[in-house]
Amino acid sequence: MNSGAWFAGMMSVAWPLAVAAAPQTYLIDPGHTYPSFEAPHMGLSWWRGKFTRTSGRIVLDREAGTGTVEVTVEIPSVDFGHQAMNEVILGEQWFNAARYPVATYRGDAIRFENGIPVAVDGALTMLGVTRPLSLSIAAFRCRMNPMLGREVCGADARASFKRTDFGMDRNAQQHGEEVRLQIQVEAVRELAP
Amino acid sequence: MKNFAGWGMVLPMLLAAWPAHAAPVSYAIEPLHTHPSFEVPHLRISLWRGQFLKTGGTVVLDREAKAGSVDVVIEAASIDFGNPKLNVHASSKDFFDVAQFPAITYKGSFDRFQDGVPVSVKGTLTMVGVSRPVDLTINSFKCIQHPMFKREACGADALGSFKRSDFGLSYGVPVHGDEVTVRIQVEAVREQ
Repeated sequence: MNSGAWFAGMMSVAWPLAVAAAPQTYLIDPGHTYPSFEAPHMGLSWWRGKFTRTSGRIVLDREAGTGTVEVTVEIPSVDFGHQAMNEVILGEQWFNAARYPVATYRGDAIRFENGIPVAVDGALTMLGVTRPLSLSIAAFRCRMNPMLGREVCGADARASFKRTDFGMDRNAQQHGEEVRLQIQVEAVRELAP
Repeated sequence: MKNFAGWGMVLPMLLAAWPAHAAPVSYAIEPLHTHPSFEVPHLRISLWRGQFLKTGGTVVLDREAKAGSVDVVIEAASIDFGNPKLNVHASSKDFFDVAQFPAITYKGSFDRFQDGVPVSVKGTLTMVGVSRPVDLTINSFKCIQHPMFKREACGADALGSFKRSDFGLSYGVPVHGDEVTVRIQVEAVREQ
């Protein structure tokens, strides 16, 4: 399908935004899901980068106002847009990716306001260390994707933490330890079995 | 003699760290620590994030006169979403048409200063041959004696926004959003 037809299709679909009556499972779409991060460099500037391989699932029960999140991020997919930096950050003194190839996030409780998810309470595991981490959801929207013939939901989530809390202490004094996350996520509704 | 040798070491360091430069000072943008990042809406349900990998230019700062200029050139083909297919599409005629418009430029001047450092830039962004005013807010600005370059280096983080359709980058609008936010990491080293 050419993109013009796709856009036309997208515009013409009137997706019934009826509230789903039971928990619905959404599979994270790795082609549209990227945890981006910002980390300070020598107190001078903020590095920005992202992880390019992320997977997982989200369960939403919009009627009950509950849900969960399970995400796995492949650490070797780190991308600063700077190859030398990517190699350094995967090394033993930083992510130690050979030993800890994934970071995981388990969101045990999605908080709702006016029928829309606004935050997730959960825990991030990185370098083998698990710490509580809450995400705020800056935007959330679902629509019908006519290419897939299925509902797709998207969100932008934010969080911040100290990398030293996960044992990533390298040059923390010189550079700063705060890490900010900005996460693009899209997830496609799974068909009922 | 010993004291003299000691001053020979200390004096240049003192001068390099001198807080108020009496004249305009030029800084060369350091491409490895300078990345214009951007956010652009996808289907209005999520935000793509990406950055340009190759940026160069010059910043001139006259702290005493509270003035200066910013002159930046970005290689359009260095666009990186962390998604190779999307990089190719963004470089094509649908978007940046990098074969015809290889450079994105930004020329501006420091607008306001606060506590001796610049906090905003007024300037003009040129993309795909179209020039439009785009102002930047400087969220952080700091200079240090750089331990590796052995020279003064300054770093900043700048924030701006514009509508891509103002530059003719209208592909997919309005299904995909029009509003672009830019967040710019920049470091620059004092020229000798």
